[in-house]
Amino acid sequence: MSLLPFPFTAHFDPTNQQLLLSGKMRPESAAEIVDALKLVQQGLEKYSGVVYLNVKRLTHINMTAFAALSDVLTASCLAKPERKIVIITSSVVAWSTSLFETLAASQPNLSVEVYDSAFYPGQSFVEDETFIPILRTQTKMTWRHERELLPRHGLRSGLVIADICCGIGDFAALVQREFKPARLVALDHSVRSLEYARRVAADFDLQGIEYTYGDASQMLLRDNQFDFVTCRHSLQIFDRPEMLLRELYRICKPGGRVYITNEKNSHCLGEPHAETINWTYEEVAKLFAHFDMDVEMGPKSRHLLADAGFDAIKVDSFMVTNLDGDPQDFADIIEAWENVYAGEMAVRRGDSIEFIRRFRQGFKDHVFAALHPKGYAGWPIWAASGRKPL
Amino acid sequence: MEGVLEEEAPSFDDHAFAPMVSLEMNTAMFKSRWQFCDRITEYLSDILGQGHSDPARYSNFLSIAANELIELAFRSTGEPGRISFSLYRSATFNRLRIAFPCEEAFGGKHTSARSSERQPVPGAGPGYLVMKSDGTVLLRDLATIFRAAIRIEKDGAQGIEIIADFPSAEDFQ
Repeated sequence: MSLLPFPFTAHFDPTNQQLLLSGKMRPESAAEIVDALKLVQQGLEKYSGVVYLNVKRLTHINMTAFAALSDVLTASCLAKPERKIVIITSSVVAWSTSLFETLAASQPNLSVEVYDSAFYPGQSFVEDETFIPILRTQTKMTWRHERELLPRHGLRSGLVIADICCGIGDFAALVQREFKPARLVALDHSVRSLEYARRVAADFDLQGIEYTYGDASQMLLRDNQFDFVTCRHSLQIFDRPEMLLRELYRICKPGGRVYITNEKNSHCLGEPHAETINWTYEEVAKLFAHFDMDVEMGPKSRHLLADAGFDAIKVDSFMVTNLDGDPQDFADIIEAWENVYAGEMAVRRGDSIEFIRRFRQGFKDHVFAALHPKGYAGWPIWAASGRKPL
Repeated sequence: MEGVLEEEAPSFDDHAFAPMVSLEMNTAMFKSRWQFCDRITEYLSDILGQGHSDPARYSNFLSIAANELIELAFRSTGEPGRISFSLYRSATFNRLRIAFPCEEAFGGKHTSARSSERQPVPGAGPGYLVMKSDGTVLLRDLATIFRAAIRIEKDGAQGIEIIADFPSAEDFQ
């Protein structure tokens, strides 16, 4: 049995006056974590006002570490009663808030806040339940292509699979039905999406999918346990994709594969009205960039996977078009995009009415192209996978 | 034995529990590496997680308490012999039982803690959570946070049993 030291990190971010502890802290004695404790102590001594102790990615702690940390915090609270310390926990880690509240109860200048949003900058835009039918339609249209591609990327029956950022769970349900995995874990950070996913699985009598509420950038899943890990359309809406990829790599077995899909929105196309459509989708890419999301990520997949340590990388691209089944499905997707991108995101960015009018026109022209008897409308997607070296 | 935990242990319906898995080690082997505590915890917690609607979170949740009890056993046993870690399941609870040789039976015939029994310890800072000589404060705080019933009992003349019952319908509220 390989017994590696427990992986945890301690980091101080002076810009936000924030101490970050992450990973697993299970020392035999406080002496083993003395460097982390010193960092906490120095951060607290140096700064005034509010200092944040961010433990939302601290997945495990033992009472030895907790007591040592508590002693440092308590001493600091007593030494500087005017300075506030806010401990930021995550609802994903179910014990964390209760435990840190036992500490906060003892000091008036210590408090606990549960942090739940902004794991994904774009998540709030798509959590609205009215968006669910569109998400289902998107998966229905991409599945026609991915169903054929996935075996090329290593998916076959009997594997242990994780679908990370599973959303409403429709892809996981299709994989469960078509590829009969030995085990399938589906993780997302939206409680509402997971409730929907469980409901759909129950309605369809699909058993065996393990839905779990989690933060993809610090998962509670163990190392090296999945043969095939999927993460679709999510790296591109995460502000630190390399962090997410590191987690995907961690949970994948050596020899297993991680499969990702991403878009390049500026390459959405249509005829007629190619120019207005092209202009709008280039603006879509800029709009997402404003919110720290990169919807141009698709062709960068090979680079990202290589940098994350994967080998035997495979990259495919496919175009979802209005000719894939009912053109109205494609048109429905574009209309939903228009509502979210022009109706919400551009408004939140503070764009002018004139810009939004022009921005909407490209979507309307894309819908027109999709429904025109001689029209053609496309949405390009890159599917890539890499093997975790043995 | 001291303090609020001296009362008789509440009745535990031991007959309702079915065995799930048992792991036994030589105590010297167990004591040879601290990291065994973590490895055994994670192995057992994974199994405990199965059957819950969110296995990964439930497993992580229970692993914090289970690890503390396994570490308590690590620190408490020094006698030659064998240590066993066993899991049981009833309709409403998951049980972890750790049995090991130990001459000092935490100072008394038995100790128990239930989540409903929480009482403040005047002047006790968080460091107090870790251990008193009998481990009772640790148990009470764990019991509160994890809504568990935890007891420590003598097992024969030189043995100790730590038994923790965790609600299987944990909804993380």
